[in-house]
Amino acid sequence: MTRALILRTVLVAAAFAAGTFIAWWMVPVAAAAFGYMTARDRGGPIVAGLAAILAWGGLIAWNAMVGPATEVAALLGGVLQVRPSAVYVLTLAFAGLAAVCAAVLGRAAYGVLPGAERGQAD
Amino acid sequence: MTLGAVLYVGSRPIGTAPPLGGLLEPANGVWALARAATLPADASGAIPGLTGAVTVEYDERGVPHVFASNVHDAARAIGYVHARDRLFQLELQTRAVAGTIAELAGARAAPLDRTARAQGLADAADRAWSAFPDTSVAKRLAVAYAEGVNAYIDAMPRAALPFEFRLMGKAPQRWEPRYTAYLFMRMGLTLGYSDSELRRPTIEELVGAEAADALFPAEHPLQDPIQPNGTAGVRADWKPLPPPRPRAPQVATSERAAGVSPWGEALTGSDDVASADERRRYLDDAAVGSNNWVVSPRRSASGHALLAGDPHLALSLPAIWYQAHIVVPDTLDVYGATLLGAPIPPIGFSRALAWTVTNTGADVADYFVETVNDSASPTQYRLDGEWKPLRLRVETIRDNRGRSVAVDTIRETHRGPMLHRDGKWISRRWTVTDGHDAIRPLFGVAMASSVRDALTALDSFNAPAQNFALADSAGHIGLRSTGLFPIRSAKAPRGDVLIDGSRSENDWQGRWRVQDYPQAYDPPQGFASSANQQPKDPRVDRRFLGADWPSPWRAMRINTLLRADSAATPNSMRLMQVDAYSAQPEWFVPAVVAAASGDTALASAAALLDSWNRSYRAEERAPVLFEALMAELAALTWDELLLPASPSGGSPAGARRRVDTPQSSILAGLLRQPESEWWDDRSTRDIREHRDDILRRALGDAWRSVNSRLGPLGDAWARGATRRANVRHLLLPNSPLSRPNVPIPAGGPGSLTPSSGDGNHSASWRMVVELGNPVRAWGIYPGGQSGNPVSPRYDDLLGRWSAGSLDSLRTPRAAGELTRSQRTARLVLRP
Repeated sequence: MTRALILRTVLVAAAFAAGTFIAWWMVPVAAAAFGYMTARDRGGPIVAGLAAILAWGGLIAWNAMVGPATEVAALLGGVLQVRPSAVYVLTLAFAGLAAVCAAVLGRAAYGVLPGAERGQAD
Repeated sequence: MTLGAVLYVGSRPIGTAPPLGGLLEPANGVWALARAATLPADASGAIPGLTGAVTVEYDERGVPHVFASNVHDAARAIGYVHARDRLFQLELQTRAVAGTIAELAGARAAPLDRTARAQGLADAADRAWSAFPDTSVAKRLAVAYAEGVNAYIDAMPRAALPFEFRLMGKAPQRWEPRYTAYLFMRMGLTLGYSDSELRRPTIEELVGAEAADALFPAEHPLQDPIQPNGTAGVRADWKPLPPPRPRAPQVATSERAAGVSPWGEALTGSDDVASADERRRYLDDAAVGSNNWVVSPRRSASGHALLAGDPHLALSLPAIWYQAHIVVPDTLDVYGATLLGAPIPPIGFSRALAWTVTNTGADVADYFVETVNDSASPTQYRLDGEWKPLRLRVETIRDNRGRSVAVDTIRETHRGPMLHRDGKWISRRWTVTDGHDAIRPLFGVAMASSVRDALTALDSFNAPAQNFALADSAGHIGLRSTGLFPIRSAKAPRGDVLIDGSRSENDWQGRWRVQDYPQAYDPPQGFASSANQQPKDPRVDRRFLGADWPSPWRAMRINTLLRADSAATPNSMRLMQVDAYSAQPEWFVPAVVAAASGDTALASAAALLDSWNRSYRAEERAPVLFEALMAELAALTWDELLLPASPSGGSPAGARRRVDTPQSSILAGLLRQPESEWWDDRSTRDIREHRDDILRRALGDAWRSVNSRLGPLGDAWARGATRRANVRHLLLPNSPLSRPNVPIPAGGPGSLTPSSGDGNHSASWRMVVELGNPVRAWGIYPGGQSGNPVSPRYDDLLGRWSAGSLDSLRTPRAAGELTRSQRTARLVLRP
């Protein structure tokens, strides 16, 4: 992974993290936009997925620095009758999957939207 | 397609699971609870309606000390801090009364809602609330309190949304002032409800009216009453128990007569949490019970009056109580255990006065058999020869998606709601739903500076009837059973039987005069106590106040200890609250040991009981055998009270239920009648058993039962290993939000720390106050101040409660008085 790619991933993750404060669905919305904008790049959806995992993982780490996040995982895991680690996995997988799928959709849209076609012709 | 699935589960509930997106996102979702676990060191907020700034300082135990310039601002601040720490509890208990839990938790809760609507608690509260003048103390304080709650809800950060709301995908509703009245309805249901009259016909069919009277007497045979009767010690008025004489050869009453809430049953046919069995356990003298006592200065080491109280209730997380200290300069300075939903503590102390309560347990609900115009769907009832219209109340139960899941028509006479049972329409008159204002008298107590003033303020306290113990800094003590006690008609003088509803002359004729209430003020003995026993000696006053009173085992122990201690201290009060001795075994063990003498098979069991010091300390091994013995003894002796097997075959073979169980003191009295018919085991047709046969069999069965359960006599039998407290979450009892298996170092049936078999009841708050200058106080409850399950304040008091410790309670006179180490957080509220 190149330095540029790392930087791009981090920037996208920061955008996802900021969007999460508005609502969780900002992640797929932003990922779709990212997928659209990076339609000609290979690996755009992967970057989106990694960035989403990084964003939500970072936010979990922030919660853990401020308070007992491990107890939150244990609590929710107990209620859902899964291991606490599964709560982490579920959270990050949800974010990653939402971002990857939305980015794929964004990339696909690039090929069908009129504006995109013009852009491609240019 | 995958994205669609992710978006769907992210935004839509699946079954009972909430939308995952909002739940899992770590900015404001469930992970954010970690950030809300501790209160910020400095915070501010706004409450519209405040007339000045209010400072709230939290001490190291999470207790808010509210400093306000007037009582209404203080009430606003209490509403705010209640919501800040316990918002979900506020909502749940309100919905429990309103019958709208299903709107929060889904259709599974509909039976609870139907029962609540049938009881008519919210309907009665709404009517009472409407009748309060806008200028009344109750209404003004409740409105101010609501402003505080709603100010918090409006400003609540998304990160602070309680866990339970997140799980259900719901947001909190706005708090209405009338919900304060709902709270006291809820307390009335918990403490003032009774329906033994509904079981009475079945009992009379099984054993006859005379025996029924003796088994569940209005005059308890062991007298150590709340109002001192001049006797130093218990007085036993044993009368021979009349033999069982079934009234009819065939008992027609169905098995449903026991163990099922009549209100739930009337509508749903399903069991309800407040079943008769549950109440039976609650009322059982051996299982649970509250204590309080006051000591005059001449019997205390410091020369100051002392007060101690430990109300026992169902244990829960969050706990029922929330500690708060309110200071309004020159007006109010009160520290107490508040209830969520009310700005004034029912239990607490000021600089001059301390007070606490136990439940009176008076019979304040009567049931009337009504004559109706249509047995299936009545619209009128007969009264004094005329048809009167029934009030019809249509109740629609909705689920969490707003769908109607049940529509019930509740019928009411002028007495109250009706239930339909065994073909009869029965209405209920109940002091709790008559409409009452608990805020004004409790506020009056908080403002009072003497026992006399406080008792005067309590004159208007109606329900649920409580035994208020009080002590003041001038050295006066008092104890009074306070509430609306109905005067029954001379035509229907007893409240423990079904009453003919067709004549208005059978209605209540008024209420007892306050001076007739059971009470003591500066009694010559130098102390007064209550432990749910019969409040007044029937030799002093024979008017009906209730029946089937709990055995006075705890009262006897309290009074014995207080008589023996002429230099009481706060620490001796604390030790009494966790005293492990039980007076109950003394009335049974000698007879059992004597009956077992010479029987080698019972030698080990008898020796264990005989060597027992009657203490329920953790290391004792005899208590587990004694408890099993008492259960076997009740089962073998009271077989006459077994209901016939259900014709539908609903009950498994051998699982017949008793319609009711007499108090253990009735059994103690029966020990004096060794040849009584009650000892005969009806299942052995050709054999006539006597007392000692049953005692031996019960001991043998108990011994085998405990051996089978715990193995041979050893460490596994120790009290500490066999009994635990289970502190369960209000909504999710079997989740990590609960704290099961909390060790209890001492206590058991009949002791001052009784515990029910399931461990769900115990001391909900313990408090000791010394009325010196300054007042010193100690207290604890099993839980913590915060409702956030990941907060260290969620259960931080539980360990010390379990160990029998009390925390020293801080009472700063002004903001800034707490030291830096004592103050953990500060909140400034402004208009």
